Amino acid sequence: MIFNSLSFAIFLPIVLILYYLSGRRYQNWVLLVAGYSFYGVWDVRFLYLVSLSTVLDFCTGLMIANGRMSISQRVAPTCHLLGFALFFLVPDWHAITFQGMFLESIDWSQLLTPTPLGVNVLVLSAFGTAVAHIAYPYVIKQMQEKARRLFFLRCSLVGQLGMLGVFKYYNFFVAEAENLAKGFGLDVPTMHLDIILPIGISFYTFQTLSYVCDVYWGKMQPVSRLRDFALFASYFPPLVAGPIERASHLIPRILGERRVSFDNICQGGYLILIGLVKKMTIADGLAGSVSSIYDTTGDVGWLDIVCATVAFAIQIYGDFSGYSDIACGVSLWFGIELLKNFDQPYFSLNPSEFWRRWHISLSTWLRDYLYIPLGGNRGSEIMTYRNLVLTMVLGGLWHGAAWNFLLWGGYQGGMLIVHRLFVGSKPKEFVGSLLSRLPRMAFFFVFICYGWLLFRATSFDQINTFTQILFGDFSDMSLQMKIPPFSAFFAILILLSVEVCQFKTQDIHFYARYPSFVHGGIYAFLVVLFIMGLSNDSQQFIYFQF
Amino acid sequence: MTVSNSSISNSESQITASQVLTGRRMLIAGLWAVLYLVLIDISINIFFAMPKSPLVDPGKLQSYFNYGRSVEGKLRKMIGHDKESTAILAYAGWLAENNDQQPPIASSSGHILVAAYGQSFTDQICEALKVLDPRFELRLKDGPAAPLSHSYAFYKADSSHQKADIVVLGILASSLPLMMAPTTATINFEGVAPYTYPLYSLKDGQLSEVDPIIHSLEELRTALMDKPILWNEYLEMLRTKAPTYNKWIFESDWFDYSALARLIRRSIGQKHVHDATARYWNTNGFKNADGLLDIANALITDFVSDVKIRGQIPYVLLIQDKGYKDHLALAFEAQLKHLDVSYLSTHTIAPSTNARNFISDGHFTPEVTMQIARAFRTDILNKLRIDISP
Repeated sequence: MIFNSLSFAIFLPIVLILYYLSGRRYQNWVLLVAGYSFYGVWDVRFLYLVSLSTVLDFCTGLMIANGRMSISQRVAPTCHLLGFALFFLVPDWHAITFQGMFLESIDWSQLLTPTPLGVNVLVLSAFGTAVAHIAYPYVIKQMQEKARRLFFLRCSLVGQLGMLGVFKYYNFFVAEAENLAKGFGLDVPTMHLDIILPIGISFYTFQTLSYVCDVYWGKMQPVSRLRDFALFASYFPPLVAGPIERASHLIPRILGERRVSFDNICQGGYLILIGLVKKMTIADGLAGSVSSIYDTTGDVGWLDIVCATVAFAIQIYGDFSGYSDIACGVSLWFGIELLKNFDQPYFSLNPSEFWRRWHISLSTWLRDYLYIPLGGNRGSEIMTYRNLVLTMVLGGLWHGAAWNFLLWGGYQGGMLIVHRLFVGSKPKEFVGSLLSRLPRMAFFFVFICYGWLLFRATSFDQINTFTQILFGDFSDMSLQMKIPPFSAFFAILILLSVEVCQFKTQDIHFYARYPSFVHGGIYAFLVVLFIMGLSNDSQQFIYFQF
Repeated sequence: MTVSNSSISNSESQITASQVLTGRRMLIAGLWAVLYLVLIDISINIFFAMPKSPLVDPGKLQSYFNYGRSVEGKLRKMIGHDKESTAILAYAGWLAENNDQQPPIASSSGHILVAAYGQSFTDQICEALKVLDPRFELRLKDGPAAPLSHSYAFYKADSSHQKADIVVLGILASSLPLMMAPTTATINFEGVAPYTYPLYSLKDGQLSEVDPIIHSLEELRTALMDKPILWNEYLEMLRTKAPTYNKWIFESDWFDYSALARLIRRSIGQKHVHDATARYWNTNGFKNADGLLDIANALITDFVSDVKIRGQIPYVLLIQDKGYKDHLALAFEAQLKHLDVSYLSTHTIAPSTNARNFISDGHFTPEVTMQIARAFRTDILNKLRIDISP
């Protein structure tokens, strides 16, 4: 289920009605079931992975902090995991077919025939939980606190990163190893696994990892009830494409009192509307133009590459920040504020500032859970450079198992090092008007765009060819790129105006300062832009694949 | 459970609710928004209204804000009482009105007579053929974005091909699914062409056809203006026989009067086009949904055998337009080889994944058209065992 779909337009009001009608006691249950439904609609089998991730970090969190779990704290995860395996993996859910959003048929005999995968996973889960229950008395009696804390932290890291590795990176590394072996003339059997990437796995894995790390570092207490932690892990607005929520930020909001004010509703509505415009009118409008150059098998010229790359820079910003805006807006309707993920990134003057403004929830995650533990800038300059590159390369790899993402990460790390070489470790912030920033912004935007070329390229050959044309072949200045629709141009202008206002006021809800008739005009324009964007060919959110 | 305050405060949300925002102000702003929306709607209808005469080409923005008009609404705008109030496009593609109006092409010594049935792509390739080699004499019959069924029906209804040396059937990839309705307008709703053609199906392996009810521009004019019963009969036939029919985009209603509602209908239309196309095609090729490929193969087979019986040479042009890779070849190559008929698939000359092969309206560039025509010419001359040099 994606935010710009009809199914979500039906799903959300139902959840909201149930949420508002429920008392405080049941609201979290509504959100929990909604989260599982939201994720399960995509592929119900992968709810087991969400369950495994939830159970693993719930238990490790408690064991790290307290060193023990009550009976109910041990029974609940067991039931959760086995129940999810039994219900979502054992039946063959392909037996249920849909025509659009409506049920078409159910083949009961197929549905009730246990799938081999489901049975195997159920048996393994039962075995795993049995081992955990048997080992539990030994752990609490025999293990020293320090060893126990480290052991369970490692359990969580191995488990979570292992799942991520298998589903996201296994085929990539196996394929590369096979290619390498073939390069040496070795004939190796193919070890490719026929698995699909669970949607949003990188997002919820990082989210739950932040919880375990924070508990380990003593920054927060563990969650004592599985259902609360399950909601943290499956809270649907940021579930599949962020923002990557921090446990220390989201859990208090899940557990605490919530009040949905009229302001929440209005601000949420604005964020949803502008998010939809960014996604549907701008990003989807530009997608065909970008694709006409990056997915072509024919020759392209200098102007094509420049225009398509700039268009992609706008597309990916519209697509990703649009998703984040909608997630934040929807969440505000439940009275829960999410982390801010974007802050006018293309107004940045240097790579350091860019990473404080682009995908903030990931860059701060990488800073706090990777860069600083690696040593950050506490060692020598060389070590700092190493940490920067390592962090950015792993950040690139987080986006996907492909060489171009690694290259993009390396490029970002390289830019950070060069910037640090020029300005030192404590650069002065630029003080001046937006107009005076403009030349520097434009200069740095060129470097951002080259990064997007690496990111969007479909092969190494394409990177090579495009780079050669960009830097040395100006012979073909014709434009073959598909011209974006009128609505996209119009919406980009409006978005630029909105971004300028937000930048100047440092307030995402800057419009509220204006008189009501201006305020109303902004809403009306956004509605018109949204309606215009409805005609664009709907595209999957780019960051869903990560 | 208590939560430590030592969490990462610098990444905390900065979505700060502006204190000045109050419920009352928001309500007033909402009312202003509604007022603006009404004003915007009226303004678009005034400043971007379609030209009164359908003979005048609308501007890009005028077209943009009118794409979402229903098919019926568009037909009513483009077809007036007389020639002066009827768009030129409305005359194109009618089988009855084009049939045998021109005399059959006569063979003259040294000329190679080519009769071709297709659409603008086929015409352009054939015209390039004549430019390349003046020995070719052409007889072209087409419809805007015409599907195979229209080309086949045109061939059947026309007798001007009888003395041709070569009879060409041009199949356009993007138009193939259009043969599952007796009008292209059930899918091509943004640029409506009103012509109709029979809807073919297979019954016990034999081709059968559904009459399109409206056969000429005059009949359509009558149906729209004077005979609502005929128009309703036409709609009823589409509802029951055409899987790609959608009443929300075809039938006129109040949405036609509001600019913003038209934009909404346009999006519904785009979704419908997407779904209708996906029913018959995906990125791996065409699907045999509703027997599309079976019917198409039957039409090709009948065309080939009919032409061969007359002692003429049948030729099939598989025109792979933008994005369709080699999908027509995948769908029909086996049958064409089995029938031992000459054919040319354009993807071998101009890959449809290369944007440089196409101009902005989707047609091949003149250079590519010439390349295809060159290959086409060589093929024909080899088949006729005629010297390649003109």
